[in-house]
Amino acid sequence: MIIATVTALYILFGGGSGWWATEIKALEKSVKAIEMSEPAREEALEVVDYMSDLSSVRTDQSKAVSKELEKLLESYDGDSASIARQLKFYREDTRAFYSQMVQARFQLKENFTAEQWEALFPAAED
Amino acid sequence: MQRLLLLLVAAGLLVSAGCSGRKSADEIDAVKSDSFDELRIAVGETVADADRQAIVVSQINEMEAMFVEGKSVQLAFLDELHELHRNYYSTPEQFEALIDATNAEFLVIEKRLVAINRAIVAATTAEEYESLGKLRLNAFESSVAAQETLDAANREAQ
Repeated sequence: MIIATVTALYILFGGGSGWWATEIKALEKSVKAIEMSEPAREEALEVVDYMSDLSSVRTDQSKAVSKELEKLLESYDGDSASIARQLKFYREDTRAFYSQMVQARFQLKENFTAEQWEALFPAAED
Repeated sequence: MQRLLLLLVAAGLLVSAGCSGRKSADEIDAVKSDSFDELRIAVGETVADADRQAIVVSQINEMEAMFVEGKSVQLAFLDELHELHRNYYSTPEQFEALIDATNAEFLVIEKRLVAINRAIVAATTAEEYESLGKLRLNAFESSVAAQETLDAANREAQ
């Protein structure tokens, strides 16, 4: 149902995995390029990999939710309680995803000095 | 139709994905705007009487406004998130506060979108609602094709 599809589309605006995917790609490039000790670089890249995995899982979850939501919205006799429940789950999942990514970001930061961290970002915006 | 949904979701997410993706995402947004026009025309051809047509079109207008609002919330959020992320001295509490505030904004938008969808259901018969579901809208199809390219590039980069 086109209207169900459009509705579900806009509801899922807040998923966020696309933004992180781009950030992770840029971070990986920067971590490989900047001056730092090799053990620290290896640890940092492990965290970057972990973040990439989280982002991929999130993309798959968003797809699954979108399928379920579209199904509910398609129904002419749709159950509003089920829709509300699905939305609540989706919001909670989104919240959890961002928290995991932020935790990973702080874990990543432990491998860098303030100067090194600053150097990561100009490169990331090339 | 499912493919459409998934790709357009990715389009929404990519709107703020970074400098390299922004221009293309803006182009897709223009196509999406055309899609709403197509949808309004389709409603005029599908819903039987003028009063109910007007109700459905007004809900679609509202849906489009929600899209604009949602995009604005998302862009502001991602800009702030990026600033916190690049600042070595940002605290976890700053991130949590931003995420919570934005989640609350999205929740309001989502509830309104569902209400719009249910209002459209209420203003149509089951047959009309089903007929609208069978439409193939050219602009939507175009945005799918455009997004497919962006989505594939993003996944490859990952």
